[in-house]
Amino acid sequence: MHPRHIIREREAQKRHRKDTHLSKRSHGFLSGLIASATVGLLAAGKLALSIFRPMETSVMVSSFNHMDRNGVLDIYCANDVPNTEGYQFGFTIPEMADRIEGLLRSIGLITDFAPLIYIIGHGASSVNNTHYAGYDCGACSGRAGSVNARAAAAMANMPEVRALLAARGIHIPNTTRFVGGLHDTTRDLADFFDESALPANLQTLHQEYKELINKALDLNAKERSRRFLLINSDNDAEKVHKQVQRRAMSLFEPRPEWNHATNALCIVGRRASNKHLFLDRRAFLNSYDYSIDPDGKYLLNMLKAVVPVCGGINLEYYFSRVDNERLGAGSKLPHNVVGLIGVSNGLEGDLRTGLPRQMINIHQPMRLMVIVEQEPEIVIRVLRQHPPTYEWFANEWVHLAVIHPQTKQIYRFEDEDLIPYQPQTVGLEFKQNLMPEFESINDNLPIYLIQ
Amino acid sequence: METNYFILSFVLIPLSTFIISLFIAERKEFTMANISYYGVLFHLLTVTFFIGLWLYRGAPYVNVKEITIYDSSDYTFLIDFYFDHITAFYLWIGSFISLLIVRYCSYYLHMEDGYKRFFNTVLFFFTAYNLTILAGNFETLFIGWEMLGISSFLLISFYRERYLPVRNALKVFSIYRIGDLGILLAAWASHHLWHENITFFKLNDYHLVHEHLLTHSGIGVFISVTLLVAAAAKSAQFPFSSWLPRAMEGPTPSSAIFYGSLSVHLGVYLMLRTEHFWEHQPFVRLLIGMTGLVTAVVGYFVARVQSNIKTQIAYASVTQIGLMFIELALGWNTLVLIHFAGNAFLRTYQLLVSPSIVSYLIRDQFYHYVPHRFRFYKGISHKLQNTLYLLSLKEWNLDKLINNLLFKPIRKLGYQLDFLTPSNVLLYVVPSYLLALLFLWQREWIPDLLRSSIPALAAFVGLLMVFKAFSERKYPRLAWGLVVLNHFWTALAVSFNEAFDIMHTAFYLSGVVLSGLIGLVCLQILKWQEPDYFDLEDYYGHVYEYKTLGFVFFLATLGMMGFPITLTFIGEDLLLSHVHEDQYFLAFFIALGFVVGCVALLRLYARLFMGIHAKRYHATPLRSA
Repeated sequence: MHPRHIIREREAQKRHRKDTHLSKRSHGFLSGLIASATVGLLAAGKLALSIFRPMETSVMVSSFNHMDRNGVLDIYCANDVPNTEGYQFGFTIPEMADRIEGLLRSIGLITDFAPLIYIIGHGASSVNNTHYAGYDCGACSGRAGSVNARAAAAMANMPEVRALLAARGIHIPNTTRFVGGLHDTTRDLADFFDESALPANLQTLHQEYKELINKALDLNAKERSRRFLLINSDNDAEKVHKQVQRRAMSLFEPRPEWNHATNALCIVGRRASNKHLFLDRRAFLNSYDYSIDPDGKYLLNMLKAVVPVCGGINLEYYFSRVDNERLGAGSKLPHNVVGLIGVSNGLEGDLRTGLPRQMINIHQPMRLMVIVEQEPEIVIRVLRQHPPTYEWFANEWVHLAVIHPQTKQIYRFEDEDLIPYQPQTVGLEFKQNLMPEFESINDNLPIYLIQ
Repeated sequence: METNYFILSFVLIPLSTFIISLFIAERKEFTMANISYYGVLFHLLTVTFFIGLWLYRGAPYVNVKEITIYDSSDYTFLIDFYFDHITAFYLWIGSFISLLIVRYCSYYLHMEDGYKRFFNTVLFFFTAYNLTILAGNFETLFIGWEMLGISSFLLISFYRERYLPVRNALKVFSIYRIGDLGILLAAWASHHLWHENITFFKLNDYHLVHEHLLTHSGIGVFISVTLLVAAAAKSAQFPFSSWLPRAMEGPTPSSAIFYGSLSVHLGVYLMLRTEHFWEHQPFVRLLIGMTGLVTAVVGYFVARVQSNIKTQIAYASVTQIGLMFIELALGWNTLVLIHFAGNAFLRTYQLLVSPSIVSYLIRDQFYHYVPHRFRFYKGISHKLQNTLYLLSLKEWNLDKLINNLLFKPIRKLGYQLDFLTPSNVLLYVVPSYLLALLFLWQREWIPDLLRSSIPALAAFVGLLMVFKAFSERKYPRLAWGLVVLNHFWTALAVSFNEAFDIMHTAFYLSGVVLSGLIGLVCLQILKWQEPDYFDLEDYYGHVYEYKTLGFVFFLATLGMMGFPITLTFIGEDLLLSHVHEDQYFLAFFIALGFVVGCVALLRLYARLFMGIHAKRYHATPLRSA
C-alpha cells in the first residue's frame, strides 16, 4: 500500500529537545574527555532523578509530541494535481466526502447526530522502549493517531463536505460539531484539538464532557492497573492514575502498558448489542449497523480492514507467545539497538523479530474469534467475494462466528460454511460493581453481565 | 579505633547483604529487591558519613591490619585495608551507582527468570568491588580481583540457556585471568623485593621504595609491567579491548554497572594504587602512556564505525580510559579521578537509556535532518582511509588476535596429550609422580645437571596437564582430574625447594582434595544420569534439569580454583612465597597453571551445565540468537 496524500503541518513548534548526554560527540577523543568531565558528572544527578522521580525527559516518546496541537494542518486541496513524487497535498472536497461517508456508514452513524461527536485517535508514551512503534497506531504507520483524528474531524466540519453528504443522504445538522482528539493509552491522558473553533454554546458542553472523560480515564487507569503487579490498585482511582502515569515515564519499566496482550475477540456489530457485557479489555469492538447495510457493501469494507489488522495483531501475539525464543524476540532486557533498524542480543546475536517476552507475559495464545452481527448468508457471500479476506477464515488463521440480528442464532464458520451453533454457557453472572475484582485479581476475569 | 570498624563495615555490609540474599526464596521478588536496596543504601550512608568524618580529620592515609588469617615464622597472610582519597572516590561512586542500579533492576527485572540469581550476583559483585577498592595489600586485592572475575562471568552468562552469553562469559573470564596472572606474579615478585607482604601504605614511602629499587631495578620493572598487564586486561586496554563489547550480554543495567562504570575502571584504580611504586621508573611510565595512546586511537576509530549502540558506547568508554592511562603516565592524578567519575556516570547513563536511542535518533532525523555527506579526509590516501574503516569495523581483529596469540598455542600443546584417557591416565601419572616423590625423598639421586631445574620441570608437567584439561573435548572427568593433578605437581615442584614445610603443602592440598572429590562425585552422577550428553564437544545446559547438582559442582569448581572458600587460596600465595627470586620459570609455570586451570574448570562447568539445553522438549533459543 502506498500513501497518496500528504497532510502538512504549519506554524508548529519543533518538538525534539536534544540531550547532550546522547550526543555522538561524547564518543570522540578530546570531546569525549570534555564531555565526561562536564556533562558526565551531571549525568549522576540526571540518573538519580530519573530513577527516584521519573518525569518527562527528552529521551522519552510522548504521543502528544507527534503533532503540535497549536499548529495548523493543511487538509484542503484546491487542485488535485500530484507533485513530482506522486503525492497529493491534502484532500479535495469530494475525496473528503467519500472518506467521511465511508466512516459514518460503516459505523452506522447516519442519523440522530449528537451536538458533539469525538473522533479519538490513539497513541502511547514510553521510554527505553525499542518496540515503541508497536504501542502506537498501526493504521498510522506506527505513530500516534492525532493527525488522522484531527483531519477527519476538520473534514466532517466543512460545510462543503456536509453539503455533498446531504446529497448522498446523510444529513448532519448545523448544530453538530466534530472534535478530534488523542488518547494516550499508556498514561491514560486525552487531548482535544481545535477546541477554540467550537461555538460558544458548545464550549460549556465540551468542558463537561472533558471532565467526564478525565474521570473515565482515572477509572480506566485503575482497571488497567490490576495487571501491573507493582502498582497498588487499592488506592482511589486518581492516585492510581498518577502512579500509572509515572510508570509510563520510568526508564526501568519494561512494560509501560500491556498493549494488545490478552486479545481474544473481535466484534463487528452494534455497540448496543454488547454494551451489557464486561469483556475484560480483550475484544476489538467495531461499530457496524447491519440494518443500514442490506447488501453487505460496508461490511466488506470493514472486514477487509479489520480482519488483517486484528488478525495480524492476534497472530503476532500468538506466535510470540507460543515460542518466544524463536518466533518472538526473547527477553528485551539485554537487547541492543542495531543501526536504528532492529534489536539483537549483545554484539553478535541475530536481529530479533516478533514481540519481546515483556509484551506477552500475560497473553494466552488463542486464535482471534471474529463475531459479526449480520445475516449469515450476507456474511458468507460478501466474504467469498474477497478471497484475500476469506482465506483468513478458510485457512483457519482466525475463527468466525455470525450472530443473526433477528433470531440471535449463532453460526460458526466450519469447513467453509456457516453452521448453526449451540453455546455451552447458560447465563452469565451479574456484577454491579467490579472494583473489588480490579483491586484483588490480576488474572483474566470471566465475562460478566454489567447491565 | 572506630576507623577500623568503619572500614571493615564497608566490606561486611555488602557481604552480609549478599549472604542474607542467598537465603531468600526464589519467588519473593519484593523481599529480594528491598534487602538489596536497603543494604546498599546503608552502605552508601555509612560511606558518606565516614568520608565526611575523615575529611574533617584532615584526610589522613589509613592502614588497617584487620585480620591475620595465617601466621608462621616466615610467612603471614593477612587481610589488610587501606583508605585514602583514591579509595574514598572509588568507594563513594561505586556505592552510589550500585544503589541506583539495584533500584533500577528491582523493577526492570520483574517477572524475569533468575531474578534472585541476578541480585545475588550483583551483591556479590558489590562485595568484591569494595574488597578490591579497600585492599591494603596484594593478597587482599587478589581475593577481590578473583571474586570480580567470577561475578563478571556469572553476570555475562546471566542468560545461561543461550549460547552466545555463555561463550562470551568464558571469553571475558579468560582475559580477566590474564590480568590475574599479572597480579599473582606481581605478588610473588614483591614478596622477594620486600621480604614481607608489602602493604600499599608502605608503598607510599618514597624512600623505602627508592632504596629497594636501587638494588633491584630489574624486579621493579617486572612488577610494574605485570601490574600494567593486570590493569590493561581489566580496563580493556590494547590489545585486550575486544572483550568489553562482548561482555554486554546480560540485562542492560548490569552491563551499565559493570562494563560502563565500575568494573572497567578498576585497571585505572590499580595503577593509581601502585603509583608510588612505578612513578620513578621512566620506562614504565612510557609504557603506560603508550598503552593508553594506542587504545585511545584504536577505540576512537572503532567507536566511530560500529553500527550498534552498546559497542559504540563500549569503545567510546575504552577510548576515555586510554586517555586516563595517558594522564596516569603524566602524573595528573586529580584529573584521572575526575575523568573516572565523569566517564563512569556518563557511560552508565548512556547504557541505561540506550534502548531509547532508536526513537531519539529517528526523531532527531525527522526534525534536524542533515543529509549525510560522505567525504574523504584531505591529504590521506583513499585506500588508507578505506582500510582504516574496514579495520575498525572488524575491531582491528583484536578478538582473533588474542585467541590466536594466547589460547590457540595452549590448545595445541594440550592436543599433544590426547593419548590420555580416563582409563590410562593413572597408568602414566602415578608412576611418574611416585618417581618424583622418590627424588624428593632422596634428593642426592637427582643428577646434578637437573637439580636446579627439577622444580620447574615438575611444574611444567603440571602445566601440561592443565593445558590438556583446557583443550579436552571428550572426557569431563579426565579434564577435572588433570586440574587436580596439576595442583599435586605444583605442590611437589615447590617441595623441592629447601623451605619445604609439610604443613604448607597440606594447607594447599586440603581444599584441592575436598573440592576435587566433590566435583568428581557430581560428574559421576551426571554421567550416570545423562550418558548421551556427557562430553565437552558442545554446551549441554544441564542446569535446566540439575539445578542443585549444578550449584554443588559450581562450588566445587570455585574450591578447586583456589577461591576463598577453602584454605587453598592461602596455600596458593604461600606456595608462591616459597618460589625463589631467581626461579622465574617456576613462578611463571605455577602462576600460569593456576590461571589456565581456572579457565579450564569454568569451561568444563559451562559446557556441561550452561548453554542451550541438549534436550529439546521445551522451548530453546537458536544458537545464533
